[in-house]
Amino acid sequence: MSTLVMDSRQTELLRVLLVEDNALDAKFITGLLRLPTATLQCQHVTRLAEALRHLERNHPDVILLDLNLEDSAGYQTFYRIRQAASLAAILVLSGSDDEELAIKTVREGAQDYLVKGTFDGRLLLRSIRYAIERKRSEEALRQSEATVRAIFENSLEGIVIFADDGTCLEANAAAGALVNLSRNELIGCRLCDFCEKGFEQVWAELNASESGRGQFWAHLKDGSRRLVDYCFTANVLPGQHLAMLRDITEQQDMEEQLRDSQKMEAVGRLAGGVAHDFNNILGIISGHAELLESSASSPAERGRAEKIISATEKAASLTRQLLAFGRKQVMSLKLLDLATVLEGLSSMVDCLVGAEVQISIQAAKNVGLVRADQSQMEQVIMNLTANAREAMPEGGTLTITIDRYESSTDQPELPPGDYARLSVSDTGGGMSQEVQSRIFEPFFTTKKTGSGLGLSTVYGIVKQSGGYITVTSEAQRGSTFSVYLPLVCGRDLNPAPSELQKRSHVPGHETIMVVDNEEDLRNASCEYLESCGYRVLSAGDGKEAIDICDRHSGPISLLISDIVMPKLSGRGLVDHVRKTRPSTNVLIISGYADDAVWRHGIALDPVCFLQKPFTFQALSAKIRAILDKEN
Amino acid sequence: MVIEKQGTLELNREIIVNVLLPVAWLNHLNSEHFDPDALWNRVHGDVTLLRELVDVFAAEVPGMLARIEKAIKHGSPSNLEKASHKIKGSMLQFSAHRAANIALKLEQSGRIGSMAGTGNLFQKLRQEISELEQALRAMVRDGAPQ
Repeated sequence: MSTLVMDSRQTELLRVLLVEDNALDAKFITGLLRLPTATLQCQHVTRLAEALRHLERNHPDVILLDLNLEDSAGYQTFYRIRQAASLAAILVLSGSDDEELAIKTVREGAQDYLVKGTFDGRLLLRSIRYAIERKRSEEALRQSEATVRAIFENSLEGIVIFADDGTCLEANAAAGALVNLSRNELIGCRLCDFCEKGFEQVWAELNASESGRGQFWAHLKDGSRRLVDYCFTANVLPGQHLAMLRDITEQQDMEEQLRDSQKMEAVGRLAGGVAHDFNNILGIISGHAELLESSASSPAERGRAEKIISATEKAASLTRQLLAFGRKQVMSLKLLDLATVLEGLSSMVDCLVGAEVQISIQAAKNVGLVRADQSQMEQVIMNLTANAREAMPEGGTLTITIDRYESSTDQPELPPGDYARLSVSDTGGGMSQEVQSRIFEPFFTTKKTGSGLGLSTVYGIVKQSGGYITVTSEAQRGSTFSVYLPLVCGRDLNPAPSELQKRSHVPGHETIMVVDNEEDLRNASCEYLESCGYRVLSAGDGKEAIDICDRHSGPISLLISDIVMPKLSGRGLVDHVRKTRPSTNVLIISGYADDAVWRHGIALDPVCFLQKPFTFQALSAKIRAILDKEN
Repeated sequence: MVIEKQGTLELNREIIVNVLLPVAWLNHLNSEHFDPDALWNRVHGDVTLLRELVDVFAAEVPGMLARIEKAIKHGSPSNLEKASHKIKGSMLQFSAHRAANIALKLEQSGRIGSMAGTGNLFQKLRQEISELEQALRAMVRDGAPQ
């Protein structure tokens, strides 16, 4: 191998490999290239094998190639060199004016074919430079094509090239998948074959314009249809039109579901607001009914008062459900007996299920207590019940059971321990494995009108409560959802209702301030508390309450206050009282649920909250719980 | 029947060698012995380069001729084709058209496997090249052709 470096005014040093076994021709060629304008670094080898070894380590810009060497001849020489140096320009220098061979080598990638004796140094140098430029252009084009091809083939969007008449000339796999066809099956099809009647007119208008966007429904052979978003560019090449296609069927479904859920959220807020006002009214009715009951002069009067109280309790139960629906309640952990929760919901469950479905409730007694939010548990029961009902459009049996379950195996879905188990079963058609695997995903629904949030809400509540949920299903036999909540031991955060009841008649003697802008309710409450022996201070808003508080010289054991009031809210009042009378206890009463109370900025022990409407017995018990705790 | 076919093949080869291929090469290989002007232009009047080329010529060409002679002597058409092709390319570089033309005929004879007449052609080639070398040395000595 010999090396020749030539000077030049050109800035770029071109690396040349001369493959020539004729020493005289090699001398001639390198001599011709000894031009002032040439900046070449020329390596000379005489055999193909030597050239291939050289190319393993070096990357010349151009290869000057004699085809007939000692160890290789003709096209084979070119082929081997081209394989070994795909990025180098190849200039064939031959003693043969063989047009057929010349055409073949150029077609296969040689940049030029020169016959010896027909060129001088300038022509050869120019040919070298042109060859390099052509090769670089070809390589850039090749890389560009490879990039475009990779984008085309790997794009998640369908890409199709259409002819003027809408025939698919080229398509990627994503385009085929969009209409359940392979790429090859799609090529040759006409766009209008998949579209609704009348799309021909749209296609004609697109063809006439330069570009356009829109949507169409693609009708598939299996009878289904997909909503397709398209972006069209006419004549990317003469008579060839580009369309980018995206399946937005699921996106549209999701948007609809989101709109539905937003609508439900709005309805929920409305329901929550109505429930608040309704609670205040119920409080007035209930309070006065209790006063009537206590002052009744005959059993008949007392009976009527009891009927009114009973009716308000049922109405209050309904408003609690409305509040739960409106998700106005945050997690307020209590020790709960699931059977009691279920019992309180039984009338709602009956209403929800309807007459064509038979209900079987099997709630074991003394299962134990779980730590959970009552309203959330109610929502779990209602959602699972509604779900089971939906699974039996033709009717069937809905079974709700509550029992104790001991898990002894160390399985991830249910670790060892004692649980209260709530199971809701239907006798519907059952679910496929695929549906079961997605059943708790938000917005996943198999119903036409479902929000897809019911079971995901259940899942979220159960997880938030430290519990587990499982689902079993069998085709044509039905499905069972089982919720496992860990059983806990410990004192209830709130006294049990029976305890409240038991302690409700304990008389009092302390001074209590009652603040509520609902005058009728406030008056009834004051009258009741006075009848119990308390000294009562009454105020219609926060500002009035502060005035009375500041003027009152004696102790005030308890402040009972509403939250949302004119002039000064309950928060302002509580802040003032805590500052001026740190020993005064606070009991908040509200038609909103307790999370609304938190939103008003009052940090409160759950024991110091009572939701309207309340019975006077419950109020009395709550008062004693607070005041006796202090003592 | 076989003999007849072989005879036809021989006739075809003769036509290819003596009629068709020489016509195809007329553009490059005219009957002129040597074109010093073309060579002078090709080396851009660089006497130093020309001297170097003539030196390499003197060193390499005898070996090239020897390979042709050996191929003819041993009746090896393929070696005759290769060796003749090589010297033809070199003669073309020197604008020695007649020598290149003779080398082409030898190459074609080798390609079609016919050794007939190759001895005479070789003697003509050796003579042409001898005269070419003298002409080249004169160019080196005297500079640009008149």
